[in-house]
Amino acid sequence: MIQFDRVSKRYPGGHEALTDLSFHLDDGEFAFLTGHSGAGKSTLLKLIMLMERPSTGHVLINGKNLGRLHRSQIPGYRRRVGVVFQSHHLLFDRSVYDNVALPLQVSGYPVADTGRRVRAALDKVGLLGKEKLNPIALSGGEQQRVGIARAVVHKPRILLADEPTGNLDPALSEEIMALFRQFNEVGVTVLVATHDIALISPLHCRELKLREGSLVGGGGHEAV
Amino acid sequence: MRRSEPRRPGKRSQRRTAIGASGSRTRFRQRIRSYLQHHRQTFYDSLARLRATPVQSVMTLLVIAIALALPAGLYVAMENLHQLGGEIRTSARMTVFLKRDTGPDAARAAMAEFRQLAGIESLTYVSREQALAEFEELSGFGDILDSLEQNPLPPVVLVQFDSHVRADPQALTALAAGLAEHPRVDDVAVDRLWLQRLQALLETGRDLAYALGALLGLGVLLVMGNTIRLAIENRRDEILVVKLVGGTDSYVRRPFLYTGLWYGIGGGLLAWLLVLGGLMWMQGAIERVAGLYQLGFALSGPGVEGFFILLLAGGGLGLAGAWLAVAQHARRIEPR
Repeated sequence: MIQFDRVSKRYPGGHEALTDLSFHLDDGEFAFLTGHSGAGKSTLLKLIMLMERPSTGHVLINGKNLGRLHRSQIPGYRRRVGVVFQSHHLLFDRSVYDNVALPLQVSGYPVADTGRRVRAALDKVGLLGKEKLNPIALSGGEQQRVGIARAVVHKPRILLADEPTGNLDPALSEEIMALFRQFNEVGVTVLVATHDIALISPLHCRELKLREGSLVGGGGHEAV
Repeated sequence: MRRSEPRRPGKRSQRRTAIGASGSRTRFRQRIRSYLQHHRQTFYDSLARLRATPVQSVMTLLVIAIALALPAGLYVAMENLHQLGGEIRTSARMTVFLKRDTGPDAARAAMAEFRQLAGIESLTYVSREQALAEFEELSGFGDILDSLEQNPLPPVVLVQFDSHVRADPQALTALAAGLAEHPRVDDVAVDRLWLQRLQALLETGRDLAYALGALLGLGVLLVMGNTIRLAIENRRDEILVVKLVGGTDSYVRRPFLYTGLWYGIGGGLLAWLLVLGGLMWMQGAIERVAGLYQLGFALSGPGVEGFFILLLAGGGLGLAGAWLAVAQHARRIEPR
C-alpha cells in the first residue's frame, strides 16, 4: 500500500532529512514510525501527504508513483488519505460538526448524507453529544479526537498520524491508540509516528525505526 | 461503547478499487449538486463575513464607490452638456443684417433669392420697427432709444438652417459666404466659434471621463487586490486545512471571489446613488441657470442603463481584483 523506494529528502540549505529509505507497508497493516525528534518522521509523513516531494527515489501509494501526480491531481489524492496532527489543526471559527464535515464538503460529498457520516465519525471517537460546540471549548484529548474524526470521516484507505498523543496523558494516549487499532481492524492501513516507546511496546506492531534519516529497523518484513 | 462501525464487505472491495483512480464514487449529478451547494453556502457565508466587520466593509465599499462615482459623474455631466449643446445648436441660426435702406418689398425679394441657396430651412423677416420694439423690451434701454431721432437698427432676416448645415461647419461657412455676397446684405453673423468651442470642450471632457475611469478602475482593482490579500492572510489556517483534506484550488478561491464580487457590486450600487444624489443636489441651481438662458433643458441622471453599467463595472472589477489576489497569494499557501 505504501512503498518507499530509495527515497532521500534534502531540504534547501543542505539538511538531509531522509537518506536512501526503502520499505513497504502492506494494505491493512498497522505500523509505528519511531525515532528521536529530527530523525525524519515528519518528513516521511509529509512525503506521503505530498506536502513535500522527495529529492531522489520514489514514493508509491497503492502502486501509483506520487511523483507522477500533477499539481491538479493532489487534492483528489489527499481525499483518500486521512491525517492526524499533533497540533490537530482544528478551525476555531466553526463548530465541531463543521470541522469534521470539511473533508466531505471539499470532495463534493452528497449533502444529504453528510450529517450521517459526520455523526458516525463523532460517535466512533465518543463525541457525538458535542457536535454543536466550538472545538475551543473542548479539552486537549477531545480536540485530538475531533481531529481523528475529521481524518476518518471520508473513510480513507490510509490513516497517518504525526505524534497524535504528544500532548496527552498516558490514559488518554492509550484511548487514542485503541481508536487507531479499531480503524486498522476494518482494513485501514495505519502509520503512526511517535516517540512514545512505552505506549507502543505492548501493542506488538511493526515498528519502523528512524535514526538521523535512515531506517535502522523494521524495514524488512521480519516478524514482530 | 466506542465501537467501530461494521462495514459491508462489498463496500470495502469497492473502495479498494477506487483508491488511486482519479474518479470518485460520488456520482456526477451529486457532484453538481454539492458544487452548487457550496456556491450557495459561499454566497451567504461571504455576505455574513462582510457583515461581521461592518466598519471595515463600509470603508472598502466607500472607496470603491467613490472611485466609480467620479468618472461616472463626470460622464453624466458631459452627457448633459452635450444635450445642452444640442439644444443650443438647434436654436442656432444666422442673423443676416440687411442694408439700412432696404424696405419691406426689397427685403422680401432678397429673401426669395436667399431661398435658392442650399441648406436654408426657414427665413424670418424682422423689420426695423419690430427689431426696435424687441430690443426695447429685452434690453430695458427703451428710454435711450426713445431719445434717438431715428431707428438705428437695420432690418434683419433670421436664417434657420437645416440639419446638414448644422452638422457640417464647412457647409455653414459656405452658406454664410453665399448670403454675404447678396447686394442687399450688410453683414452675416454666425455664432460659430462658440459652438465649436463647446464641441471641443465636450469631447475633451468625455475623454477625461474615460481616462479617469481607466485610472480609477485600476485603483479599484488594486484596492480589491489588497483587501482580498488581507482576507486570505486572515484565513490562512483554514486554507491550509482545506488543502490538506483535499480542497482544490478553485474551492479555496471561491469564497474570496464572492467577497470581491460583493464589494464590487455594492460599490457600483453606492456609486450610482452618489451620482444620483449629486445630480439631485445640483438640479435646482442648474435649472435656474437654464431658465436664465431660456433653454428648455432638464437634467438627465445616470438612468437605468447607468445603473447596470455601474453594477457590471463594479462587479467585474471586484471579481478581477479578487482573482488577481487569489492567484498570487492563495496558491502560495501550501501545507508544509
